Amino acid sequence: MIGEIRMPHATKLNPPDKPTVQSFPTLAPGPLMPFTPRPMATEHIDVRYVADLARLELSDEECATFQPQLDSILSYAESLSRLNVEGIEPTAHAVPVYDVMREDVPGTSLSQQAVLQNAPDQAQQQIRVPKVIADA
Amino acid sequence: MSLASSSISELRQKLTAGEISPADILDDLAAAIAARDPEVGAYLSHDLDAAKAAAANADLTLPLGGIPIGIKDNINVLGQPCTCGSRYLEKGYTSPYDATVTSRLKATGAIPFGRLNMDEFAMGSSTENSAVGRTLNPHDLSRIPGGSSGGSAAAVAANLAIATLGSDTGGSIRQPASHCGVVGLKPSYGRVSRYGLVAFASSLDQIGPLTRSVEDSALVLQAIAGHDPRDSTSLNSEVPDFLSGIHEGVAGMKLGLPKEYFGEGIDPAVREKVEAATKKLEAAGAELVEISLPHTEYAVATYYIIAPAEASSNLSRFDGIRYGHRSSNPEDLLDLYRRSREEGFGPEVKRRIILGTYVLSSGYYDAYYSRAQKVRTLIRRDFEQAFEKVDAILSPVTPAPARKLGENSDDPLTEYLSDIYTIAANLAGICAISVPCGSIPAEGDKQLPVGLQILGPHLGEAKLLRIAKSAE
Repeated sequence: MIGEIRMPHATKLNPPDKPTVQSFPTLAPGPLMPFTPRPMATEHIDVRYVADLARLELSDEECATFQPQLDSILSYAESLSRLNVEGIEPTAHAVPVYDVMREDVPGTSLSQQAVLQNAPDQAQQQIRVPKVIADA
Repeated sequence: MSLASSSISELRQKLTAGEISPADILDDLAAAIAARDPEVGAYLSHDLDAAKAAAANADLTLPLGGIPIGIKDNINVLGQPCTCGSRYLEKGYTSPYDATVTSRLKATGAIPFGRLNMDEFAMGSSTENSAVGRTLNPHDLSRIPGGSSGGSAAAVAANLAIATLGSDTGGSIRQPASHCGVVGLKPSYGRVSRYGLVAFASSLDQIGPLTRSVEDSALVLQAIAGHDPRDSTSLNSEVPDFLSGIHEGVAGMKLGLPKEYFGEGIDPAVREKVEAATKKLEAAGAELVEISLPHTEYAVATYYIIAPAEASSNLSRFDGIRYGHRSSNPEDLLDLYRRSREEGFGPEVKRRIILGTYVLSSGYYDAYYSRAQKVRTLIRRDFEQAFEKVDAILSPVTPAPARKLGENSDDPLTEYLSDIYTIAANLAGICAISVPCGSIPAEGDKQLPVGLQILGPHLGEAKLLRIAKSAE
């Protein structure tokens, strides 16, 4: 393998006082940011807003189905607030291992053909996607 | 006794004696699948020709030489489909590589044969969340086989596979094993490489065997365990001989009975079978000790924050670009992402992506995700303290035998609560096994299997299998 290809794009973060996930690289403002970040409801999950964050289209029927289900799951999860967890270290992995490195030696990797074999749309031995850069 | 219903050990004897060939086993399995699988639905696909070609070159001197092993449909086998039970991967994905467990099975002479149904992306406890197939419990076709490795358990139970691989993130090997009456082992976190297992919750996922016997479980674990440079979380620890001490019994061992696991909510008939199994181990020389795992009641809430959080991150790879489903005529790139995911994922996967995204979002991270990680520490400590007093812990696998199809379809929370006895082992990273311990009569002369769960300390599989052998 030769070195990785780096894409020269900036990553813009929403203002810290708003609920955020890392936003989409803003090469083309407008169509790539179709929703305006806004404060979430305090009592219930805003299903459509959160689905937007996860890049997930939802029908109105799905939203209506998920709303009470997710509300009841989150209400159940509130039980954790009964516990005092002050001073308790979080567990991210049950068996933490750190800084695992391998020898820096070249090895075999998948061929270009093997990597491309499942791509739903391709041209010139590359994966084709819709235009990312907006028209001038 | 047909070859399809034999154990690995029995088949290995016949193979090495030259009485049968690997192709004979495959022919027997293919006939059994053709006869019974139309109603059970364990398999999503199987390629007899490819397996026959591998069988022709099988090295019978190797530990699993000539033994076909069924594979859960979220583990990559070069050249085979890997749908993960999802429409997203149903078309447009053929594995371009072998998972490490697959290459290890091949290296020990085994033949990966058949793709087994599962809840979509392993999210579920019934296999009803598969978008690509329907699997029923072979003991009662009106009931679920359990899940998410429902196909893997049903295939072994219905004599449609000799042994299978499953994956267990919150009980997905042990619970279907219990419901189908087979042996299901979740190894300790880090014991088996996850490379090539399609990730659900990376800090919880572990691959393990579903088999007819405890001895077969040890044989398959022996083949797949060990360090893998391709999985940085696989442990560089010695892999012991899991078979050598398996017959040594439980005399002198201390086995813990957690009072929280035998309390409210358990079906009295299940409790009776599990308690009878613990008495059997006591009669074999073990000392039973009541213990407490005080944070048990928080395990389900902790799990259903952490697992969806990790899933929402892992499943972001399914974006319609590199493989699998791509929505047609997208307006732009974002529309392509959103609609490919909308069209490709089923409801349970969407629920968990939304839940996981929510608990990770700023303003809610501390209240949910960060707090759950701290409670996970408390749950882990419960087990560490318990294993200072006892060699292993005995419990039920599930509060009730296999339920009827469709019962919790509109009530995900109730379905999640049935995972109460299995998920703590994943949160703590310890090993656990489900061993059949009897059955409960159901309507129409049906018998519903019940499993005994044995939980062992981290990397304690050898002792776990020894106890399981005594309980078998």
